[in-house]
Amino acid sequence: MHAIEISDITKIYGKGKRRIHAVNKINLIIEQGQIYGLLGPNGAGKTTAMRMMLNLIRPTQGNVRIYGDDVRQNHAILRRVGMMIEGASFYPYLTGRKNLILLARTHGLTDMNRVNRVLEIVKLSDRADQRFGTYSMGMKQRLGLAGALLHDPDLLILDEPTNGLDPNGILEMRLLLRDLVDNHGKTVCFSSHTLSEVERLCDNLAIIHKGKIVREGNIESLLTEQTQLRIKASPSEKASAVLSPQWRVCDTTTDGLFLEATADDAPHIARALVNNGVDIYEIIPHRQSLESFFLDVTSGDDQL
Amino acid sequence: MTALFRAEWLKLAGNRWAVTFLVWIFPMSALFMSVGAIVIALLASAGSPETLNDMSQFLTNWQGGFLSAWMFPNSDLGRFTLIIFTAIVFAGEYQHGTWKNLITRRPRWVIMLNKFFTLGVFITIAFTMMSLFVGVGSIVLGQIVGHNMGVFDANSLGEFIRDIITQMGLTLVTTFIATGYTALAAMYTKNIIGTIFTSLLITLGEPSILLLVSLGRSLLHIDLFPLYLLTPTHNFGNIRNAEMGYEPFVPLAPEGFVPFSVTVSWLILIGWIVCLIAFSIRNFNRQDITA
Ligand SMILES: Nc1ncnc2c1ncn2[C@@H]1O[C@H](COP(=O)(O)OP(=O)(O)O)[C@@H](O)[C@H]1O
Ligand SMILES: [Mg+2]
Repeated sequence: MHAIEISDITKIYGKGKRRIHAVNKINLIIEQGQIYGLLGPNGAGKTTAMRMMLNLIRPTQGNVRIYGDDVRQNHAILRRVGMMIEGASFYPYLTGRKNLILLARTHGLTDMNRVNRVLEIVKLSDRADQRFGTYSMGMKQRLGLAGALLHDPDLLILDEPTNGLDPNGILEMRLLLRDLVDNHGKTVCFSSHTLSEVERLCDNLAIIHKGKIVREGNIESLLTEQTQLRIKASPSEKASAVLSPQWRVCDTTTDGLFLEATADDAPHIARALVNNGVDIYEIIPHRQSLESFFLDVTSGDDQL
Repeated sequence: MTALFRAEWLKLAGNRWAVTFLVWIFPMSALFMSVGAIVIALLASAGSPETLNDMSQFLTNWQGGFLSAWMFPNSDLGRFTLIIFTAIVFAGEYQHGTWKNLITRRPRWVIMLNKFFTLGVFITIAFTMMSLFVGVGSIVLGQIVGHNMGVFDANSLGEFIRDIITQMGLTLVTTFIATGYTALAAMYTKNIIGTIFTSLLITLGEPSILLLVSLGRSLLHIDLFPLYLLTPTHNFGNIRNAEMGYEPFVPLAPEGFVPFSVTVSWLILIGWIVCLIAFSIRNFNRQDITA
């Protein structure tokens, strides 16, 4: 069974001219026992997607299943989920500990030792009896994580969990999440707007941009990906016509033809072109690393 | 379910400033004033009979103190402070972004109903304390100044119990209606200040429906008076008039108008509470929680 199965979800905010597709027909499957990263620039729709996973907002279209149950039909399934969305939110006038006790009671937990336990996990025990309102950003974030872990959930949905943490805190968070997944069989879905973070932490990832998923897959294969060849040939229209039945032509520019293919395909491509009377000037593997891909996305350069 | 109640209680009672200055201040003032008056009376009893006489004028019978405290939440000041408190309780969840922590753990209707319930218990306790402080205080004071506090027997006790239940009921019912308005206002404005203004406008502005009735009659020739009869204001007044044995006074009433019986007025008031809570829950269920 999938941990999360998102089918065709769309969220439209506003009406008329100010209508915005915050999330636009996203499909996603997140398997159990892994860390899944949602990577995207600010405003990409990560938070909106996660809110729909948690039934906090109603999708304009589509549905979300968690462990096979539609979150809008079976509320109880969310009790197996721990979450932190858009930073930690607590009552500023209560201490960190009281805020957690309150959540534990709301959840119906009987073992209040669990509160101390999660405070230890996030290393907040010594500040637990100060008011949440006095906490630094990093401490707030830690308490948020403690809240998410409180009921020992099977699935964690964490929206930019490392925001506001210092490098040490980020490292601890990374180790903690890895440990939860590798040694305790949990599943984590988290979002981030920095590639390096996702790269280090997750097993699979989806890049989300303007409400759509623009790339998805296993982190290793995405990182080593070099899927394009740049070909300078003349006449280029004919080259395109010859190659397009077998390889996907991504782009035709004055620089040449960009083809979705690997370096192993180069001899076959050369042969096909020569056999059809096309002159070849260059065939160069065009490496597009995940990083440059993501940079293109975040710089708003819509060449995709 | 008691865990859920205790969670909400922790939240209410833990908001020290709000709860001290908007709720506990009333029983505390009552205690302070009662003790103060008793101390002054004890001092005066040594040599200032005029003072004792003056103090005596503030006392009625032994029931008076207990009953008067329950009038307080229906006064403008009482209504005002309780609306601010209720606004903090409901709109605070939007403002602090804390709804999401709760509604992922329990169904929304459970969370919302629990909030109304806990708030109701909280207010009941606060004003029961106030009633006890004023009531016991005035009896003690009566003893010191030598005021005749009336007879205390099975008969007067029975009457008192009936009176205090009516007074408590009336106060709690109207307070709850104001709470319902406030919860709805919180849902739309999503912030504390906006909620306070909206709710005050609705609650304090409700009697101005009479103005609409009058305008409707003179300008549009439609009679909105039957609608006025359904308002909390009218039914609250109707019950109180009947309890006090006053001649029913209903502004703009047509010739030969017969007021509702007390029972019907009670049912209308309770109907308001049920509808407001049901409406709040329905809206909350459909709401996008984006904070
Ligand atoms: N409550 C809202 N009302 C209107 N627009 C919203 C709302 N929440 C988010 N948006 C818009 O939806 C888009 C996606 O936002 P969000 O999901 O917060 O992105 P991310 O979390 O990836 O930064 C943005 O353009 C944002 O302005
Ligand atoms: Mg976001």
